[in-house]
Amino acid sequence: MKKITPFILFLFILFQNVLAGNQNLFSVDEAHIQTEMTGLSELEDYLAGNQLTLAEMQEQDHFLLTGLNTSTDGMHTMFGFYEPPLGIPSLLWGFCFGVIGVVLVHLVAEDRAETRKAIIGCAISTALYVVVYVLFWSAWRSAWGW
Amino acid sequence: MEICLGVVTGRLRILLPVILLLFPLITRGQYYFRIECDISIKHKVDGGEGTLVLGRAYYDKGKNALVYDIRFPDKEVWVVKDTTLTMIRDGIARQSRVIDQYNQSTIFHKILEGRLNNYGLESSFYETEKVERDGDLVITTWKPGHSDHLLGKIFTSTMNNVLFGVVFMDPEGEVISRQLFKNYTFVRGLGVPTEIIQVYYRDSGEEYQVYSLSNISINHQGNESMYNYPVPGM
Repeated sequence: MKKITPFILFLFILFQNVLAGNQNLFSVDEAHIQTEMTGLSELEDYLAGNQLTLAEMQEQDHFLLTGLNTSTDGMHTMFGFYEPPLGIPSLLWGFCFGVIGVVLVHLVAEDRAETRKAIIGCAISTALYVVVYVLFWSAWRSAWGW
Repeated sequence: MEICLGVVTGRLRILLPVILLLFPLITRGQYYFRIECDISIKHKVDGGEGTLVLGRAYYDKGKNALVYDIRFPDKEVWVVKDTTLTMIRDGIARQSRVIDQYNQSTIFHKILEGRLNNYGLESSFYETEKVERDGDLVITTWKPGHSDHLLGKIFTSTMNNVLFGVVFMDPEGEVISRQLFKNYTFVRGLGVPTEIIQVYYRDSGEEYQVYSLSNISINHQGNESMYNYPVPGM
């Protein structure tokens, strides 16, 4: 019994930690997020009483615009649209430009999913190149009777 | 006995048509088909710049139409109707793109359908793998019914019977994003979170998105001009 009790205690603590881990899955550093949002919250509070657009505030060179990304439009914020370089889909970048296309998409998009699409495009073009090369080489050998 | 039976049967003959006539009116009170609210979206890259969008959203489930009347950063209207998103400024359609099944994936739709508790996953191709309780949270693990090499698991949690959080994983088990649903208010019996915090974990760092909903109205019969917002041709 004396030998079993510490073991049972160990299992109990381990079990509690497993359960705590699941709850921790849903925890975020809200204080840090609210700190990051401070400037935006102040701007939001200001606009609650002042019906101004971004352009109108820019004309005033308003200090509350400090730290605001003015080049991204609202639709991108709302819908999270990613615009690939020159409007060309990531898959085509990888297909047409191979590794260079993959690197470009990775640097511009900074998004794993888009990089994956570019890699797939690169892999498809590589596979097609190999198939065409093998077929061509086979035809060449047949033509010369090798 | 026969007289009593006759009286009851007679009254039923009178009441039954009345009940049948009133039944749609009674049940319609439980049918939620519209939601509108003021909406604020704050987006911030950790340590970087942020963006702010302010406006009012109007969603009609029956019409499959979601309209955002935006006042910041610019005065414009975004209409998501069926599979098309159109951006309208000064009465002219400026941009249009296909955005498949967007309305059905919004929190507005989930709230009206009463599916917010499971984030709408119950009616998706995701399957329940496990349900467990951890303190105040009831945590459900969802696994994709197919394409599991492309999609990871999703964890949802409820507290006091309302959605508390959602965590998305990639196929390798890494957390892609977390969402917390807070400060619920009840409108016509529907629980609506007035604050939603989203954290995205990118290769370049964390990104945060905070949605704030206010002045919420359910099944409002006015504002028809917004619910039926005309989309001009491009």
